[in-house]
Amino acid sequence: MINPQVRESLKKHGILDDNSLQLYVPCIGRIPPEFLLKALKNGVKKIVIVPCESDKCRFNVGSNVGVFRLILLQRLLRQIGLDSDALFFYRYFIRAQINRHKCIGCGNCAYTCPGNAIKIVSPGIAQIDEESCLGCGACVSVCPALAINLEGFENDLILGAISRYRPLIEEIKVERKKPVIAVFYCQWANFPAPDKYFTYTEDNVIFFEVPCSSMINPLYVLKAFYEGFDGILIAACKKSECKFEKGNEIAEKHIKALKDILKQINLGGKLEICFVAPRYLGELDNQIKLFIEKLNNK
Amino acid sequence: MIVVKAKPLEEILGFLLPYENILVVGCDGCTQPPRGLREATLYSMLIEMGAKIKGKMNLKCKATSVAKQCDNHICSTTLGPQLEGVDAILSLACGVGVQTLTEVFPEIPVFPGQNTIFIGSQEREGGILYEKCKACGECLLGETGGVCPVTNCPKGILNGPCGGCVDGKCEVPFEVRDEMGKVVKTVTKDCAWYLIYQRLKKLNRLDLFRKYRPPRNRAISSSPRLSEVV
Amino acid sequence: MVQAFSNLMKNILDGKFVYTGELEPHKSMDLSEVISWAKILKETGKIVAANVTDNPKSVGSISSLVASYIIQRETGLEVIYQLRCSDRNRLALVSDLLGAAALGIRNVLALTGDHPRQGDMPTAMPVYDLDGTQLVDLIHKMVYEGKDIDGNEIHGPRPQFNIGAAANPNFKPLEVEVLKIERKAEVGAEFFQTQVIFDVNVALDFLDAVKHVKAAFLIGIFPPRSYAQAEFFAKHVPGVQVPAEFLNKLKSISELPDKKERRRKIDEYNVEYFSDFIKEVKKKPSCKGIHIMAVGYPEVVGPLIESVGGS
Repeated sequence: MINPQVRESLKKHGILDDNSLQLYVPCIGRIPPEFLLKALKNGVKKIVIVPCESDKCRFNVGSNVGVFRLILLQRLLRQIGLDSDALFFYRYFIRAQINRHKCIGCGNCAYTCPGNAIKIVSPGIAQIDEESCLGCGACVSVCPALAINLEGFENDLILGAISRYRPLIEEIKVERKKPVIAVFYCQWANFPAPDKYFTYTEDNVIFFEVPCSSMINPLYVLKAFYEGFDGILIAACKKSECKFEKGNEIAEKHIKALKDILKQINLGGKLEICFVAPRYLGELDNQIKLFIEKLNNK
Repeated sequence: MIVVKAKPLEEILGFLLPYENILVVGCDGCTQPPRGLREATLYSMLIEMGAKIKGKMNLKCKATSVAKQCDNHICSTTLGPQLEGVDAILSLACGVGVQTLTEVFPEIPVFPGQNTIFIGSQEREGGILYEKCKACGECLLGETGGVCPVTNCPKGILNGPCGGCVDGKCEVPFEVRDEMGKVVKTVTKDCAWYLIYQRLKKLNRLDLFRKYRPPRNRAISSSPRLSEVV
Repeated sequence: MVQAFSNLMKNILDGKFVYTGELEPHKSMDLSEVISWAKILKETGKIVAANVTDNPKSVGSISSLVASYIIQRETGLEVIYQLRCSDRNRLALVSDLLGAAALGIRNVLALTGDHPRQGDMPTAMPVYDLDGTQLVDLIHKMVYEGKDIDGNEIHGPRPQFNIGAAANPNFKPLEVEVLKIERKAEVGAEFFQTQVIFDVNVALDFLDAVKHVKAAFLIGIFPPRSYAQAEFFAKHVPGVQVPAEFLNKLKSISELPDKKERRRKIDEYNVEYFSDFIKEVKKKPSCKGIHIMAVGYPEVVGPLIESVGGS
């Protein structure tokens, strides 16, 4: 799924319209040229690829390799007379943005940022250096004034998305008599199939993707409990595999502190964090199963 | 920063259960950790859920934040309009904020959500914050090479080190407590006067170390205290 | 000019080499055991005065003022009243000192004192209105100016005390200790008793370092009752150096099967080792005496002093 921000941008440029089918990959370096050719052959009029900016690739060279392939493919396609617009790419990267009117200059974001991209400048406002921002969102989760947002993953957007599930949650609980679980997963810890939003197929599990587990704000967790979720599982990357260096460690610390507070109102056992990697097929599914079992046994 | 520690939820719920329309007020000022709008929102949800578990279903909790809870003008102008129907306030500020809100809004009970523990610096490695200033009113940092003996020496002496300094470390166990006040671990601290000696030696000012300091005027550091605004 | 009010100071000013002892009353109103030890010390005829501890190790014990008075009265042994700042503000210190003067106490050892957190009531409030050095200043003002530390006149006769303070030759770097000692001497400390030393070279280096200070230095020693006690010092009391040869000899004695034999051999070895020690340190002019901390082991004191001989 292309996040709404990018979608808006592409629409504005006349690149996307409402007849588009959105697919999602962990890295565009993954896309085999055969797939693109097959799509074009089967009637797709235009393919738009959105790679990361060259120096932001989380797999080092994936983005550049992918773009290189695309350029070659574009040349080939032109040679057989296809419109140059048939295969188009648009480099993008989401960044954190600070609302200077809300910032209280506490310095938490500057301290937490794994890219050292934030500075607190006099008279007491945080400033992000766009070149260095890695788009992980760790700063978002530590801001006490809710002054930072990550494009496409704004706090209001996520909180709104969580509260929209309230009627569905009630329905699942009442009619299907099952506990409803929210899984917040890091985009690198779990790669869903390109045309599906999630791999786990049970209907009482609802998935929310975040760019990095460090972005998970205690507010999202609390909101989820508040709206009726029975359990919340965070899926982060395995130790030393975080694409932003220490995002999973930050997430682990936050979850631990949050569990201590939640314990005081008997919700401590309903929040868990697990560490998974996509190369172990089915690992996240297993963790979800175990978590649900644990909840049912309470 | 004024270092604060969250009160246990049990205690906070104890304050708030007799009421129905609660406003949790954060502060964007100088508490460490910061207790702004996000904390206030978190608490408002925790309190509503906690109250439901205790059987109190009709307790409603809202959240807001004030730029500085220690300023009565800011409080009355920005918070005043938000108090329609509110019958209790939970303040996440330091003790000053709680008292200021009480003065500005005397008809509404204001409860502290934090224990204010000391004035400290913003240390983050390892997560331990140390008291750095005791507001003693007689700052002698100019004579001690910038190391404070009032906050770093458990005896607060002025002519140290005492006999309890061993290999540069203070013999008195330094206790780290959890939010219930229970001692979680003890740490060994550097002897403040040993640090002062090293600093002054480096600055070539052992004359300041050697100097005899007479007893402090305790009236300056004893409460209640005031200071006039010029 | 130092005036000698006590026998301790009179002896020192007369050029005599002095010996002091240590008495440690406990958490009890019953002083009979301490009094019996004091009698033993008195009977050696060589102990000129003995310290009476004040809430040692921050364990709430019988008032050192009361214990000092009773011991001095019952045994005739001159006491050195230890007064610490951990538990009293300056008012209480002044009132206790006036009381001590009224009770005929002539020596005071001014200490900062161990922190309550190190003792058996760690929740107590640490007072430290004054520190050890400021207490020396207070006592000096009372004795030589007839005033308390805030300048208030003392009515009637001035108290007559000789003022002592503590020193730690084991401190590294020694420069810090020397500066502290200079401060205390500047405000009126007349004699210093040191922490326990086992290694004679530590004592000699210390005495050289303080030879410019106008005060009397009494070197502290601790003849251990058993190998276990000596080992405790070596392992658990940081900063104190115990020579390996000393430890090894005590260890071999502790391996003797017969208890009586062990006791005898230890007493003998303590006398031999420490009399050599004392003969060495006596040679330094700033060393005016020895402070023997044989708490609970007063029977070794007499033989040890005899063995040193001379005066």
